[in-house]
This record gives sequence, C-alpha cells and structure tokens, in this order.
Amino acid sequence: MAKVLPLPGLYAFNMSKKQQRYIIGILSERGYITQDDVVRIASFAETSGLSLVKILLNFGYISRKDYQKCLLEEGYDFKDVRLEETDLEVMMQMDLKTVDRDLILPLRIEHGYLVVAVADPTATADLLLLEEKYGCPVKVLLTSDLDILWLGHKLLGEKYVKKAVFELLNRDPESSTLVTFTKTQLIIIFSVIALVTASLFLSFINTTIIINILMSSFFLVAIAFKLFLALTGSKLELFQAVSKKELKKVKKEELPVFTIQLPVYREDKLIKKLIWNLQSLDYPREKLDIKLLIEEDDYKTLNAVRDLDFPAIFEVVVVPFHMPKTKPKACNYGLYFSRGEYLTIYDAEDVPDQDQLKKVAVMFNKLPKNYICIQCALNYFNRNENFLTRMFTLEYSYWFDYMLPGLSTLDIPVPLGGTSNHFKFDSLMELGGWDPFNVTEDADLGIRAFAKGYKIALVNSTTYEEANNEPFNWIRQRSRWIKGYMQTYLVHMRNPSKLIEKIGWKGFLGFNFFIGATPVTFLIYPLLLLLFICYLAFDLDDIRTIFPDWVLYISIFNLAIGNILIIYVNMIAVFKRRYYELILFSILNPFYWLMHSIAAYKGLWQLITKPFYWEKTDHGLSKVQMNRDTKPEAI
Amino acid sequence: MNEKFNKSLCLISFLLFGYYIYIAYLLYSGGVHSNEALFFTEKSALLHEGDVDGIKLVGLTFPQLPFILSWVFSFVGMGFSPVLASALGTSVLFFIVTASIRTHEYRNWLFLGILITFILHPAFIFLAVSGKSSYMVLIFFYLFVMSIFRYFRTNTSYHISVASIYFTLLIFCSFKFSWLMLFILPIIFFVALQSMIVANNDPLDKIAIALNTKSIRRKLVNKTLAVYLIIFALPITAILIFRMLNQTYTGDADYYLNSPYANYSAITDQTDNLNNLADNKLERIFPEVHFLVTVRILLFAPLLLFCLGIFKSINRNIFVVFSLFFFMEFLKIKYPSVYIPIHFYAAFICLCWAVITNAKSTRTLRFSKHFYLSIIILQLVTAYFAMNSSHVPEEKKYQAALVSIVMQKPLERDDDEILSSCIKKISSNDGILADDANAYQIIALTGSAKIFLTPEENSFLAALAQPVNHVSYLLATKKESQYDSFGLLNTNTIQTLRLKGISLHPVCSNKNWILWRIKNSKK
Repeated sequence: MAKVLPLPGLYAFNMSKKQQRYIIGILSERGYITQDDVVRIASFAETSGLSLVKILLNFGYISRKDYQKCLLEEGYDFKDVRLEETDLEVMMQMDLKTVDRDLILPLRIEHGYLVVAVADPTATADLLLLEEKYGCPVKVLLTSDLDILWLGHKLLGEKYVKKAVFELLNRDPESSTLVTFTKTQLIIIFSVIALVTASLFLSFINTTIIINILMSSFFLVAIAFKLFLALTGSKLELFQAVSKKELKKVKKEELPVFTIQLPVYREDKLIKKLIWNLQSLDYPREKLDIKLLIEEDDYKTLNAVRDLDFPAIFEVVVVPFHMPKTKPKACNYGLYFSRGEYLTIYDAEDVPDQDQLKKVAVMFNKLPKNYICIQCALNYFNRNENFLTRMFTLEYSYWFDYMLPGLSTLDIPVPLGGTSNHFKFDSLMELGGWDPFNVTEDADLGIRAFAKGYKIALVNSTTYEEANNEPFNWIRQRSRWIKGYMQTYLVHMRNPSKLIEKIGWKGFLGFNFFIGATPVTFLIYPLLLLLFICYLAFDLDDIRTIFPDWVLYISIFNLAIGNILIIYVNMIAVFKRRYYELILFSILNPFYWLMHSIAAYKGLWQLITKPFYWEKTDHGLSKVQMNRDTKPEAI
Repeated sequence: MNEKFNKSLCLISFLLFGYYIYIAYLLYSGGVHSNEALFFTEKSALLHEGDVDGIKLVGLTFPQLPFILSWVFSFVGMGFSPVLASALGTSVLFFIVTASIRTHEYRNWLFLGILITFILHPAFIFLAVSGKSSYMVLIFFYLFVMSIFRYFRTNTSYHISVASIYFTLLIFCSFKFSWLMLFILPIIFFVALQSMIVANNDPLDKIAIALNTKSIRRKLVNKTLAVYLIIFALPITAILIFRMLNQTYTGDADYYLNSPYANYSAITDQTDNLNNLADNKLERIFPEVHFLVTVRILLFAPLLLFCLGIFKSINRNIFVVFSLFFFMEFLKIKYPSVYIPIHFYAAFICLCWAVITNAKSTRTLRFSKHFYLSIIILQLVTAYFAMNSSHVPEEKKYQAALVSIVMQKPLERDDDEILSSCIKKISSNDGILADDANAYQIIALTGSAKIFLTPEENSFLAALAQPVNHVSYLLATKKESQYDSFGLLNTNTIQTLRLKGISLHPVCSNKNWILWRIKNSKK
C-alpha cells in the first residue's frame, strides 16, 4: 500500500491498491495487542467515531514507545513534524476537531503532493478523503501523535482559544473579570478612603470607635454565620447521598460518557502517578473521555507523556498560547474537544474515590433537572507530613464536609472547590464555561450558576489531593485563592440590586458573608491581633479609649468565643473524618490564620497590580504516597 | 402522617402552655412567688430602669441563659416574665420530648404517659409555674442525653458536637451539671472500646485485646481522647472564658457563683435551704443523705426500673443511667448542706423518655402499655409525696399552694408584699437605699427599680456614707432576719447611721425587713 519515496521519511499514499492491513492488525500480528483487543478497539471506533490510532494510544492498549517500535519494525520511519515547513492556507482547510480526532494533519502542498502528517500510516480511508478534498495526491509523513496534536493546536487552535478566552466576555460582559474594578466601584472605594481619612483628622477617637464597632459587628455576624453553616452542614453526615446499594444497581451500559479534564502545567513528575490514579477509577474505560490539557510551551509535560513506558489512558490536548495563561482558559479550550455528557476536572495529583464517577452519575439521575453540578469533598493524603499539611487537612475537612454542605442545604450560592466538581456538559456550555480572567474560576462559576437558577449538590465521595507542604508554595497558592475570592466578590457586586434580584436576599447575605467576608476577615485579623497584643504586652491604656465597654465586650467575645468556635468546628470536622490524631492541632489555628493573612495581603497587592496572574502551585513535593488501602473509611 | 402529628403536637403544646399560664396567673395574683423568679424580675427591672453597668448585669447574672430569656420576656410584663418564660419553656420541653417519639412504634401510649406527666405531675407543674430556671435545665439535659444516645448508635460527629453544645448550655443553666463530666469519662472510654473492630465481642476480651495490641491501643487512645475533646472542649473553655470575664469585670473569677448580686442561690443556699435542714431532718421517711439519694430517685421516678428493663442489652446506655446516679450521689457529697432541688429528680423522668426513644429493640415494649401507664400514675403519687416532704421550702410552698387552688382555699401571700405595697405608695422622687443582694424580692414585688438606689449604681457608696444627701428611705434587715448578715444594709448599718446623727424612723416592716424614713433628707 505504501512505498518509500526518495525523500526520506515520506511515503506516497497509493490509492489504487486496496487496503489489506490496518494498524490494529499489524500490532496484533506482532503481539502488541491481543485479538480481543482488536475486536474491542474496532467496535469502540465504530461507536465513538474515533480513529483507531487515537483509541490505541489513549485508551490504554499500547504505549507510544511500543507503537513506535512496532512501526519501525514494519519499516516505517518517524519524523519530527514540528520541524517541517507548513503552509497555513493549506492547513486552515482542515478543522482542528477532525485533526484531533483522526490524528492526520495536512502540512503543505509540495511538488503537486499534499504532504500530510499522520500518526497511523494505515489510515487509508481518511487519506482518501483528503485526496478528494485537496484534489491532489497525498504524501504521508509518519510522526508521533503528540507532535500532530502540538502542531495542529498551535496553528489551528486560534479560533477555539479565542473563544475560550472571550466567549464569556462577549456573551455576558457583566460577569467577566476582565475589568477588575468598575468605575463605580473605584469611586465608592476612594470615597470611603477619603471619608475615613477626613474623619480621622477631624475626630480620631470617635472614628476609630466607629471602625472598631463595624469590625467587631462584622466579625460577630461572620462567626455566627459560619457556626450556623457548619451545624447545618454537619447534619448531612446523617444521610448518604448515594448508597452502596444504589451503586450496585448501576448497569455499565447505561452509564454516560464522562469527560475528565486534567489541566497541567509543568507536572512532568506526576504523569505516571496520574495514570495509576485514573486507572483505578471504577468506570468503563470506553465511557471515559480523559483530556490532559497541556500548554503549548510545556515541553516538559509533553515529553513526559511521550516517554511513558506504559499505555496512557488520556488524550492530550495542547492549549495554544494566549493570555491570560490560566487554568480556566485551558479548561474552556478543552471543552471544545470533549465528548462527555458529564464533565469533571481533576488536578494531576488527585486521587478520587474509585466509585466517584458512578456515584455522580447516580446522583444526577436522582436529582431534579436544575441541578447542574455535583461537588465532591476534597481532602489530603499527606496530612501527617508536617504542620502545614495537618492544618491544611483540618481546614479542608471543615470546608468541604461542613461549610459547603451547609451552603447547599440553606440554598445559598456554593463556591465550587478547585477540582472534583462534576458538571452537566450542556449546562456548562450554556453558562459560557469558566471565566479565564478569574483565578478562582470555580467559585465564580458556582455563583453564576446559582444566579441562573441552577443548583449544586454535594455527594458522599472524596478526592484526595496533595496538601501543600512548603510555606512559600502555600502562600503562593493561597494568595491566588484569596485574590480570586476578591475578584469574584467584585464582579458579582457590580450591581448589588441586580444580584439580590437574581439570588435573593438569603443568597446575597450568604454571598457577602462567605465570599466577601473571607478575604476581609484575613485582612483585618492581624490588625486586631496586633492591637490586642499591644494592649496586653504594653498595657496601653489609650487603646481602651477606642474600645467603649460594649465594644470591648463584643471584641472579647469575638476573640475568645469566635476563635474557640471556629477551632471547635475544625475539631469536629476531622473527627468526622476519623483523623483523631489531628484534633489537637486545631488549637494552632490562630497561627495558621496568620499565614492566611500574609497570603491575603499578597493577594490584595496582586489584585491591584496583576489581577490575572496565575500563581502556580508546585505539586509533587510530598514524599508521601497515597495508599488506597490505608485510606480512611468512606463517610 | 408526621405532619399531622406535628400539627397536633403544636396545638397540644400550646394548650399546655395556656394551662400553665392559667395556674401561674392564679399563683402570681395570689402572692405566691419563687425566689429565683423574683431575682430575675429585679435584675430585669434594674436593667430597664436603673443606672447600672448593663454589660456586667447581663453578662454575669447566673444562671445566665434563663435570665436572658426572662429579660427578653420582661418587655411583655416585668413581674410575670420569668413565669411566662418557665411556662413556655416547659411546654417546649413537652414538645421536644413528644417530638422525639414521633416515629416510635408505640408512640400513642407513650405520648399519653408524657401528656399525663406534664399535666398532672406536681414537679413539672412547679417547674412551669414557678418562674425558676429549671425548665431550661431539663430541656438541655434531655437534648444532651438524646444526642449522646444517638451518638452511641450512629457514631457521627454531628450528634457528638450537638451533645457538646447542649452540655455547655446546660452548664450555663445549672453550674452543678459541670460535675457530670467526671461521670461521663468512663462511658466514653467504654464506647470507644466497643467501637473498636476486634475479633472477640466479649467486653472483657475486647479490653484485653485492645490494651495488648499496639495498633488498637493507639487507636483506642486517639479515639477516646478525641471524643473527650469534642465533648468537653467547648464547655470547659466556655467556663474558663466566663471565669475570665468575671475576673476582668469584678476581680473574682467565681463572682457568678458566690456573689449574691449575680446568683440568688449564693444567699438562699445559706438561709432558706440551710435553715430548713435542722427542722426537717427527722421528719423524712427517706432523708436526703449519702447513698440514699439513689433510693429517693427510684421512688421519685419508678419509670427508671421499666427503662432499665428495656435497655438490658445495651450496656453503654445503662452506664449513662448509672453515671447519673453516681452524679447525684456526688452532688450530695460535694454540697452536703444543700438539698438537691426537684429538677435534678425530674431530670430522671426525662431520662426515661430518652431511654425509651433510643431503645434498640421495642419488642419488650409490646406488652408494656398497661405497665407503663400504671407506673406513670404511680409516679404522680410518689411525686406528690416527694414534693410534700421536700427539704426545699419553696417546693413545699408551691405544693401547698397548688393543693389550695385545687381545694379552692385562699392562698398564703408572700410576706414581702407588705413592704412592697408600702413602697408603692412612696413618691418616685424619693429614693430608697436598698441592697439587692438580699432585698431583691422586695424590689421585684414593687414592680419597678426606679425608686431604689442599689449597689450596682455608682452613687450607692456615697449614699451609704451620707444617705441624707441622696435618698429619703432606707430598706434594712431586722436583727432576727435570716438575711441580716448577707447585706450592706442591716441592723449594724442602722446603728452606725444613728451614731452619725441621722434620724431614722420606721415606716413599715414585716418578718425580715424594716423600711426607714430618713428625717431631714435633702432629697
């Protein structure tokens, strides 16, 4: 069918001969795949519309190294397509989605031949179509599928990447964080600063007392609200959202296709781990559509995928360069290549519960139609590594086991967690995907979904992540989160009356005391603590003048009861997780909150100076490995 | 079905509230008052009308939660507010107890027993109509025990944390319950041990395996400590902070317990209840002494025997019941000169319902309907005798008043009303110097604190030194009064003032008090 041309590495495609061998046949003959695999692959290709090579390399049948070895044994030669000359005009005639699906990329027309990069030299039918489309014979250049994807997405992905960045802005500019502060917001902020400054000059003590009263009252309400949320959320422990019995009834053939997006950047060390984690998911392999979203300039990760010694179970999607370089932009881009009915996002180091996807599928079937997202709890597998990981575990247990269920129960907008949120694909597209300019895009999406009348549920399943074990790395990550909360707050508070109209008073107050209060609390906390320490250490009587008796009473209540209640809720949360050894660590929370404050100030600074900058968190620093056998019992 | 049940329950609770209010009104208008209700009324009046440190008053008056609720109701009517709160609170207790048997297989006849108790049991009527804080003690006690039982069954953090919150609230209604912590410690260890997954199910074998296997021992220690922390961290820190607040505001960490300005029992336990000790000791069939308290409890709440029968297979729940017996014995040892108030006994009746609701197997209950109802009736009779022979005079007083209402006899009015009606006639421009440590009853019965100058007000000390410049009257104890040594205004003060040349003339008096008029007062 193909013969070697004088130009090394190029093969002329001969359409006069009938195709006799397909790639799966070659691989089977050479013992790389079994006969059963051949049947399964052929059947899957027929039902899914995916090319054989795509299935072979991305659904765990053969490693790229073996694939290459086999074709080399067959006499084929591999070329690096990235070094080839390209003609954009020729390339643009192909849709990127087709290239992505078939792994065939026309590069240029040379000497009357259409030079085409292919990953599967035996894909006769596709090449015939190309000859027909371009009206000239085809010369094929065998190359790695990853190179085709890299080149294809880089050169043809502009349309999609622009959509990924600007879709929300074009559709709903009010919800886009492209503008951090609106004019009205700036006027209000500067007016308040001016008013406070002037008042301090005119009457320092009275102004300070008023500020004190406002801060104390704010803290008081915020603490009461959080306690109430925690108690409400803890009730969910009494019910199993999806029971084991329900899971047993699930029929594999009835399960929908599930897309898993894995946005990564320089996570080359985690790729192997990632595959192990994904392989243990209890979900039919053919119904999984796993996309590893790699940035165009992330050669490290791309090469790590290329160098894998074992079969991969994900497809690579290369995200072309476009500012802002954020995770939501990558995820939005990935949406255009997804096939699933449901879609979820995991980080590279995530270890989801094995039955998580099944539980989500069952849960979606049980819920009314307006539930478009299911959030799973997040927790950490390296919790006992050091102080930071312990505190982080305490915090996450409290956040995902108590706070978010509380919000959901009280029908208050839920700020989604960074990963393990499972969406109905169509609804996600309808919402315009994630805001690429928001650095906590999930939290923002949760609010937007709620504003459109959609609901978010929580399911009794956990994804274990790697807790940040390095202080500076932690502060980087946290500063991004807090900056994102500030962005989310600012964007939704552009028009408060409209927001009230959309989410109601309860939602509005919940939003203010949850999303708005979180950064403010961390910003104020060190100031109040400093004031208190000065009062205690230096016995400064002047401080008393700015604390009238009843304000002092509220302040002491906040300091003592507030701290204790939040510490207590942390204790209960880890108790629920059966992490008994962590309970005493919750007493150290006040020190941990100081780290939050540092991150909050960093986040505030970045909000003003570089709002869309994505503070990258380094993963894979932990020396602890997740062992599924030692995982705490399911709750 | 449940919705209908809830609606009926609300209606019955409301009717019960009306029933309590009716009795309470008869007693209130008949001049029967409890010390605690009068104490709350006086504090509310000071808060509304006096020139006092509101934060100190609201923050440190103990028991805190019932006082705050009573103060909230004082906007409806100052004098009646504690009674209103207790009547409402007891109806709420009824609602909570009956709501918890909502899904019970035998809820109909269980409900009947509860209803009979709340309508006819003299202790429950006393709690509802006296304006005392006991209703709140029983509410939180019941909720605490229910949560503990539920935690034992489900092992969830929700129930244990809620139990801890209820326990904290319980302590702020009755501080003596803080000692209960000591008796819960071994139960928690036992429950933690039971939850360990060990091959052998025999409790003793489990202990042996758990203590001899390193991993299980570590897990057991971790879990036990964790549960201790979850249950006790909140109440202990709440107590510590409250003591710190007391220390900051008053210089005495135990102010809320020892000061008569913050806690009415600081004096009552040394006067009314103590004096009664000698008189009554030999009259009782079962005196309230060590080791016999348990017998008294069983006599007061025979329903316990029935419940222990149901619970025979659930050791940990039986342990809870026994721990409460030990707790009561401990109270008698710890406070030998103070009689145990009736609500501690009534708590055991509530405990019985908690036991029945949480009984694993209801099979044994199948044939128990008549037995249960008979015990409920018997309990009414034993309660009548218990109340009638109570060592606490207030309880006896109410019992007698209730009997008088039933027999349509006139009620014996409170002696302090003589003074209060005399004070009511005085012009509000004339001030009365009074020490509310022991005179709170009279201030409360007067219905207003405007006319009184009390130690909570800044000018009190100046007025005590030179009353002529500040007030026209002075309310002091008589020499023979049991309160004479507990206030700043007593016979000695009158002597001192007379020596200073201040002319004092008695205006009116009763058994304990004399109202003096200050001649030549500049006021």
